[in-house]
Amino acid sequence: MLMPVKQESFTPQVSFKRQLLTIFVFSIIFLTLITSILTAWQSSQMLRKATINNNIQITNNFADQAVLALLTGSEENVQDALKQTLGFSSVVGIAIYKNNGEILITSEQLIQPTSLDAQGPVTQQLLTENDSSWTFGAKVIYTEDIYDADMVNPNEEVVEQEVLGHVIIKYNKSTLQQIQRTIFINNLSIGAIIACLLALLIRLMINRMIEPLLALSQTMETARDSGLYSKASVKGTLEIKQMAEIYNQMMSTLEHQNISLEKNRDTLELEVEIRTQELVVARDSALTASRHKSEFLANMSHELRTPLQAIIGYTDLVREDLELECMDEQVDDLNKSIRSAHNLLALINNILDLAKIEAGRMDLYLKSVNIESLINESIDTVKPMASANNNELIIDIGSLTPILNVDRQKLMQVFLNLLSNACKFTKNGTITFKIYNDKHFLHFSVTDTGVGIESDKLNYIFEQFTQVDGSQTRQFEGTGLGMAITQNYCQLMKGNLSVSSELGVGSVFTVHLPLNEKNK
Amino acid sequence: MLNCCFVRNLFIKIFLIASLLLGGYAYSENIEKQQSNKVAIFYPQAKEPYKSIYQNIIAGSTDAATKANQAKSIEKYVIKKTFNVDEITQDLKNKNIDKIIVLGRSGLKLAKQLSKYKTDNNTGQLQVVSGALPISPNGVSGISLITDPASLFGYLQQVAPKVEQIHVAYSKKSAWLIALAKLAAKEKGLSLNLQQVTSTAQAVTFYQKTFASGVSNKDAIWLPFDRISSHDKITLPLILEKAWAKEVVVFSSKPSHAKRGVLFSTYPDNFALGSHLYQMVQGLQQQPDQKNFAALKSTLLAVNLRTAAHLGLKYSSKQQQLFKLTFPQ
Repeated sequence: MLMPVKQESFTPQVSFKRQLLTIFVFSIIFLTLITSILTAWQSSQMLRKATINNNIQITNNFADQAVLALLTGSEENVQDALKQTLGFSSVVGIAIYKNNGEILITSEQLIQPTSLDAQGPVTQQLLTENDSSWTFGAKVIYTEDIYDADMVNPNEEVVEQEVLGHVIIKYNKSTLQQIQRTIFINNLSIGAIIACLLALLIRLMINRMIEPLLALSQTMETARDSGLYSKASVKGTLEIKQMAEIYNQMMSTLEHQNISLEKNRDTLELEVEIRTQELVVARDSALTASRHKSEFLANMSHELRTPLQAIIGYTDLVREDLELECMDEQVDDLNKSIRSAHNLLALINNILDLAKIEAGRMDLYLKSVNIESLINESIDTVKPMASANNNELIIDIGSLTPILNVDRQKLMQVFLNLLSNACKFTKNGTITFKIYNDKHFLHFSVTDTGVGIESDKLNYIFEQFTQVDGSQTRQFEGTGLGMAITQNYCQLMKGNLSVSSELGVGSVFTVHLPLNEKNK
Repeated sequence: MLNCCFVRNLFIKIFLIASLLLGGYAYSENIEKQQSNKVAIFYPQAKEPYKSIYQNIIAGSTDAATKANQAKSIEKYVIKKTFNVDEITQDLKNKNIDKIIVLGRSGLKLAKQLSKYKTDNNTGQLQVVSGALPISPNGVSGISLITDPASLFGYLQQVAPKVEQIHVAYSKKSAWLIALAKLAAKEKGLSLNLQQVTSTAQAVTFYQKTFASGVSNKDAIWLPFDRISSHDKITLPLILEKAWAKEVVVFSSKPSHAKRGVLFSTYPDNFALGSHLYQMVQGLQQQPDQKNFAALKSTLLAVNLRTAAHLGLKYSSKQQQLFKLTFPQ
């Protein structure tokens, strides 16, 4: 599956296409406008220069044509030239001046004579200029004729010149200004049209260029939303093609990886299921086997106990007979035999109890019991064991309800197991039995000053056929079933057995048994 | 025998010595004669087309010298922009040259300085003639580029035989030419309507009056080379326009006017001019104190056939062979 990516990083404020378009269009408009304005300005300047040159030419020509008129002093001789020159649309006025400043002829729309008088002999061509008009002047020069230039080198000819007067022509600038305006307007219009056309063209081109990119983006978005590995079509410019190809390769790789992951997951799930089923089968088999073992043990114990009791009974009969015949040595031997048979019977009973518990056949038989009687009976049974190891047995009975509703046999078994264990693992020490009850629980504990148990081995003592130290099995007798049965009895009575011990100091076994409703 | 041999040997020796002496005298006399006939031609350094004009004139002089058996007598000199007349005269003296032809404006300048040098130093031997300039008499002998009226009037009678009267305006500077014209007109039976003017305006007035006076095909207007009365830009357009309208013959001393529309004009024949200059400088040697000045007689006729056709003038092919140049070309 594709990883979702933060949306913000994908959406810029302005699209790439719009940015490109904006940059290009503004550049083109700027460039076109600047070019148009510069071209128009340059054209106007050139036109202005050309117009000035043209006016100078017209003025000089008219000055040439005015020679005869000034020579003869006759206006008639210049009328044609005057008409011709006034025929130029830009010419608004003409005047011909004699050398003495008198006007020979002026056109109708003429220049102020006073201002012209002030000009004196014309030395510059452009006399005055204002916003609306120019005034040009030219000397009227009479040049002596020369012999043919192709016969005699004119450079060697001495030619005399005489200034006859001057002409002044006033030109209107409106035509020039009109043309300049037209140039500006035309240039700007053409520039604007070209800019628009270029902008449209660029828009089309950018659209064509961007289209594959947008398609690629769309494909990516679809892939993100759908989780499918959709492929992009490879088209457009080189970079976009590369992007599309790389994207397609990524999609292919992702798809392959995901397929591989799914396969691995399926395999794992299958294996887990197989293992689970195997475990269930194994567990069921184990449970069945355990039950069968317990059933077998229960049956076997029963079957073992019956002949053992027959052995004990008949051995006891033989002993009694031997006692009567005062055969004391044989009686002692038989006593030992009977004691061993009783031990074996006790062992078998323990196995039978444990098997019953595991097989779920052990039931509680609750009835009202005189608890003090039960305690005394238990103490009496243990006392010989305590004294055998030279141990002091201290009985501490707290506030105790006289009659309690308990399973007498199992409670007594718990007392005996705990006390006999303490007597067995303590030598020359003290064993304290403490008991009391409150409203809900019966509390009792057995404290000894015996060998103690290492803390990491505390849990082992409740396992079947186990003693803390294998070597001690030889030192201390026992089958290793006592503590297991004790804990199972406590659990059966919904009680709690806990132990705390310190190696070489002693151990404390504490039991809390809940009391039945009847006890309250 | 011995005496006879001795006398004979002595005679032979005397004969040989006498022969050698006589031969050497004759040789030296001949060299002296050649040196005194040498002519120096000074011409300005110029580019085409003027270079060709000068060379044509020089070729004409050389040809004339050759014809007079003086082929090796022509010496050519280029006049520098700044020249020293003393050096030149010394050089001429060293080479024993006393006849000089000068061409162009620089040549005229040299001629004037040589005349002054001659007066200052009282050396009466240098003879100078000027050519290739449209000059008026100015104290220097020479041939002007301005066509001799006699030639012009001769051409007029060939080209426009009906013309009887010639109208001409002239300034004081052209008076020498008018004097020639009067003689030529009288000789050829033509009448002259002369008007001396002091300004172009007066000339214009004269021409206007002339055209207003009922001119016909018997009248002709002559435009002499006169800087006051005849002006290319002022009077020529006026005259051509009126003459065209009134069908009056116009002819000119200025070569290019035929191209511009006058009926005919003349071009200088440079080769012949060179020859005339050579002859003139030789003639001066005969009469060293006499000034000699002439208008151009060696000319080539240039006719504007369009103007001729407009005037109703028709020429036979024989006549047309005389026209060295015709316009439009």
